Amino acid sequence: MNLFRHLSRMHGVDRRWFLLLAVCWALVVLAGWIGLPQIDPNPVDRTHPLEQLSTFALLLPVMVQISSLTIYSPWVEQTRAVRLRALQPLWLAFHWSAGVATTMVLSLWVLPYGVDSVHAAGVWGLLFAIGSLASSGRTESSLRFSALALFAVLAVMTFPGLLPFSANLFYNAETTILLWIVTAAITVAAVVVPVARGM
Amino acid sequence: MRVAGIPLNRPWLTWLGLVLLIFVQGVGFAWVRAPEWLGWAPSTAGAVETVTIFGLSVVCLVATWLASLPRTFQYQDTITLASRRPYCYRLLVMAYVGSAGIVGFAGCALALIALPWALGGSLSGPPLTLVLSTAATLASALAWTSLGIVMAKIRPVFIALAVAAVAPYAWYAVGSYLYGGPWQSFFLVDLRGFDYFTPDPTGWAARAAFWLAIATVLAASVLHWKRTTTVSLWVTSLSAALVLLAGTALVPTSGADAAECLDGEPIVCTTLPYAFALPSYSAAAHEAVMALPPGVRPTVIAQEANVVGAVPDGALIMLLQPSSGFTQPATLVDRELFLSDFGEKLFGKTGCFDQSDTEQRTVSDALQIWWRERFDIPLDGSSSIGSTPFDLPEFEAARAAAAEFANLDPQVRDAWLTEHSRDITACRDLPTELP
Repeated sequence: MNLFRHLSRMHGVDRRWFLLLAVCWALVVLAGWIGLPQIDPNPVDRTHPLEQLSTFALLLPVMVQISSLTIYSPWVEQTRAVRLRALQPLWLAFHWSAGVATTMVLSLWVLPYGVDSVHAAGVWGLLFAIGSLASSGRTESSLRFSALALFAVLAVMTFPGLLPFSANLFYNAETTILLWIVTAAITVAAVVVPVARGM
Repeated sequence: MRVAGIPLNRPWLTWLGLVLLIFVQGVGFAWVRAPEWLGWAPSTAGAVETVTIFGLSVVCLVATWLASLPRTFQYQDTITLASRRPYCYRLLVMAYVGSAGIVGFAGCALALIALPWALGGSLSGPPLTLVLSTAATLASALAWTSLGIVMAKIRPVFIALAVAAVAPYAWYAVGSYLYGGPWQSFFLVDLRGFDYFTPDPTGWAARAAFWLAIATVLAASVLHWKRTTTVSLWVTSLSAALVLLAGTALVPTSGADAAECLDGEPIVCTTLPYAFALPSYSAAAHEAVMALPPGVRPTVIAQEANVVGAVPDGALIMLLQPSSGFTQPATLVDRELFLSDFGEKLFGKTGCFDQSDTEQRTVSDALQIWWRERFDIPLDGSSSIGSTPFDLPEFEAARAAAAEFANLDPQVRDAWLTEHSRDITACRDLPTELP
């Protein structure tokens, strides 16, 4: 527990951070009630529960959680560098699972009926993995770059017809397995790359 | 190096890159939906606004990024102590990003307008909508630049960036969600229903004025121009009232339902909004009819019944919309899709014979399979919306019959098709077996 507190402090996780995260998740839930213009081009009459603004709004909590991967207190790192730095992958895994669990809970009980919780959690996991990979420099600039990268990915997935729908991992509920494979691969890369770069 | 006060290594190159990014994403996104708007001015006006779906997020994001730099890199104090007023930096960001947005979006609008000519056609329809939609687009670019500067006040900065990326798209999504109501008139328009009905120009002009007023209010407030803020707030209020009064009324587009035909074998006809498709429509139709003996060939292929003008007695008319991807009718024709639909229309004969009659159904299926194989169209139905997947085991008999039919001497095959031309082209029973 003590170690967890140290890790939290080192990464700038405090009450304000939790408040910000809660506000962002609240915005995601609110956005869940706003449908997007149809992304699935198939004219067959069926519901598209995944096509809602909350998917795009996931960018907000993802960015908050990614911000906590950055080390905010360099002096802590210098004093306990080896031990705490070695725990960085564990810290990333903790955030990843916390986000996946939150998404699953929200999509099961709060988001509009019909959202596949496993798929929604996969989308969150993928966004978090891409974001943490893009911000693997763990600096303020890399954090900004990660916001840009996530926006670009979301824009490409969200614009109707830009990708074949069969390849649209975010909004096509039939790609859940592929989504999780890609998520797992990028998550592994997000853990390995900073370690390989000595961060 | 700093040029014009923007703390970037190569500000002019970055500016050019920003313009290019806005231009490329806009034209790229619009091109994806080209079959919906190409060659028809009101639909192109909708496409011009479509380029802002993510373009405004780019503008807003960059404005937030640049406006947040002094605080991020701790040189706000230096700016405060500089000879120029502190908010001059925001004015520079506004000019830098706003001008990139204007040039980028104006370039997109010009490209979309010029595209029909570049592809060998022309743009038809009333041009006023194009002017108004371009004005609304440019005004919204300025407004979101100002909003981006306001968002830079959000802390921490990465959240400001995320909000700047999400907010313009959320605005678009909310507008689509409210489609049809008076509030929708504040939001972006898209291509729906602009072929025969167009939004009232008053509403479009009011929206352009509203966005311009919003841009002025925000710009004036971040620059501490109090008098301008007050005046522009009044203008915003008035233009908002005008937007609400004008609403989302759609008015019929004059001349949109006029027929346009292209002579050839066969004659092809569309309405004016889809006239851009005529050359590719004609080429695909020609390829299809030439594969049939003369007695079975349609002489007119038309988008819909009311565009078929005076046709000669005994002319064989087929109603088949020009289509591309999932768009139907479309301003571009996908050859494979068209040929697949043609075969289904000619030989499928939905509702013309008793579907429980296995023999007739096998003949109909076999003829469709033969047709698809003749043009190397996949049997799995992937080339056309809702077409039958003939690769399933239940069509084995039809596939065998189609193979036999394909192996026949072409003269024998044509003779059989000619002999049964009335059964094939009219809505009545099919022969019960192939030769």
